[in-house]
Amino acid sequence: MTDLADGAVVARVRSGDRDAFGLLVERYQDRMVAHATYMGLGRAEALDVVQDAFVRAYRHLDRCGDPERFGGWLFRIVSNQCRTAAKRASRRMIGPLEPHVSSLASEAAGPDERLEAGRVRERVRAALRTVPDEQREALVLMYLDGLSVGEISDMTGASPSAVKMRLKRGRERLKAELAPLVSEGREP
Amino acid sequence: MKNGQDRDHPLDHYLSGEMSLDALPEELMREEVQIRELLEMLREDVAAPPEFRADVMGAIERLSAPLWVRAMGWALRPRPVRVSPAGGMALALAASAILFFAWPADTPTDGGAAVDGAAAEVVTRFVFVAPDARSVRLTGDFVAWSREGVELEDLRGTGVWTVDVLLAPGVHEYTFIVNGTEWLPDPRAVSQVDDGFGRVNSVVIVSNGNAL
Amino acid sequence: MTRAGIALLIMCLGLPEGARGQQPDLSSRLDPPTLAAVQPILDAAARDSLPLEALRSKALEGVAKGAGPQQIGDVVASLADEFRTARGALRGGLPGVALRDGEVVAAAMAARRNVPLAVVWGLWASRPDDGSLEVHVTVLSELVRRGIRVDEAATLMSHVVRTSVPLEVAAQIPGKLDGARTTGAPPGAALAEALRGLNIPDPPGRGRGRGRGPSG
Repeated sequence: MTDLADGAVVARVRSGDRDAFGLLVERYQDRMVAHATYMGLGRAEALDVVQDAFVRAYRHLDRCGDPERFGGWLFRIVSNQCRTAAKRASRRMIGPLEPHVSSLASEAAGPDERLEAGRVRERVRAALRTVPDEQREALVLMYLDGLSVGEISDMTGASPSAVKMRLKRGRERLKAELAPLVSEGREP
Repeated sequence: MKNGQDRDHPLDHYLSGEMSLDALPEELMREEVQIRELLEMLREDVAAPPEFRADVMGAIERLSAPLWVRAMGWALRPRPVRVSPAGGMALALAASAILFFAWPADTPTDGGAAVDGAAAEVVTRFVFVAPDARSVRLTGDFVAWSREGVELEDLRGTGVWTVDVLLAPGVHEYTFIVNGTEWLPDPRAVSQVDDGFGRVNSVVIVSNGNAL
Repeated sequence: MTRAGIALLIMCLGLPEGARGQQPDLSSRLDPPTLAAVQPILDAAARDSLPLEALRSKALEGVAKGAGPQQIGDVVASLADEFRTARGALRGGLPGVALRDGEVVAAAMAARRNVPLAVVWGLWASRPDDGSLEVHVTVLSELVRRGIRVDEAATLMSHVVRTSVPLEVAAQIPGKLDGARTTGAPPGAALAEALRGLNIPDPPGRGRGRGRGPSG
């Protein structure tokens, strides 16, 4: 069964084979968890959000218009859940923690390469969090999920020109946040 | 920015996929490479854990079952449980019930259960009776446990100290500091909780909505 | 000047910077040993999506009360574990439901009062909208603490949730119950009296002490 295309698996689930849905879970779980993580959710929350999305997809499988493109439909559900979760997370005042984690690490261990890469990664992560939600989503979908502007447009419902605007503004914001790293041509 | 201008910018062509990276002006290309590399750093091990599929399928199974089956399912499933020492580590927040004297601030509310961060704060009165006190201060989670806290006033000189504070809807822990040194719970609160540090905190519930 | 106006003026006169929901940076309030004790706990809590404000608040409380770094670390760690357990249990019983920090904290407290978390999540099934259940869970655990049977308290609070009894009314149930108990009434009868005092109709099937309701 593992060779079955999405459309065939969805058909099986719809005809009552609930366990077949597990195949779709396995097929897409890593990619969805990756996206949720790139969107800035903590590990536990990313797993919760993706789990919720799969459950939602199962409950509403009848609404999947093109079963052959189950992955894209699922991705839209995950995106929506991430957007909601990101809005909730921004109200939690975890802001002061991130810079503190970075500074503690740098104070504690000094100029160690691995630590340095970790510190840079934390700064990038923190910088991405300062980008407004829609712009961050566009950046993640393009640079980390590898989607084109057209695909991002399909996914989010925004027009291609709106997507490009979000990408450009998101890049500007990221540049401003990471100015020391970008201008120095820093190597990871 | 108008659409016409967008279409002329090299970055716009690049984002649309009409221009390759190395066709960009040098500075723009260098910037784009750096941004890509920095974002690529976030691409790390973010796979789902091995038990993820089972967790999802378990959640789906429980969907079909009636509520009581879901409840039993949780009770029977093994879970790691940490047992606190009998000496009682403190409990931090939220347990109890007293709505002392709360009425909504002069902002419109929807009367709903809006206890997340965006909800309007509510003016809440605190009262402490201490005829012999020279000073009474209020501190709690809503002032980040500042020792300075909020000063109560004995407005009529009767030993009844009061203060009104704007609190976010929800459950808050607090205590009084009398004469700058004595930390005393609120005897009017319906609940006291161990604070874990050898003392006791009082609890107030604040809700927005119409006054009674 | 309105009463609220006077109150706000009084409040504005002496309110420290830390009030009104602004949380100071921990590093400015904690000495290095205490920070070192609690930071790993907070980092893990952030990864596990636990209620961070509550944990930070507990650390700050410890400092204000003069506790040592080790004790503060232990208290915060224990609290984080309680949150972790409560959150895991609620997530297990409520697939697809987003949880607020306050709800997790209230559930942890309920567990401390020996209210089964399976009972707590029953309130979510009664919820007509997505309003927070922090107050309802808190009231539920307070009723149990006062000797009301768990199933009776759960039935009542589900009813309160389902019928959208105003929060400020629901929050008064334990206090009213205390008032009714001063007359010597047993918990069940005192609860009925408390509900009458708040104009909360009996849950269906209860009808105790009212002489009216769906069955009669």
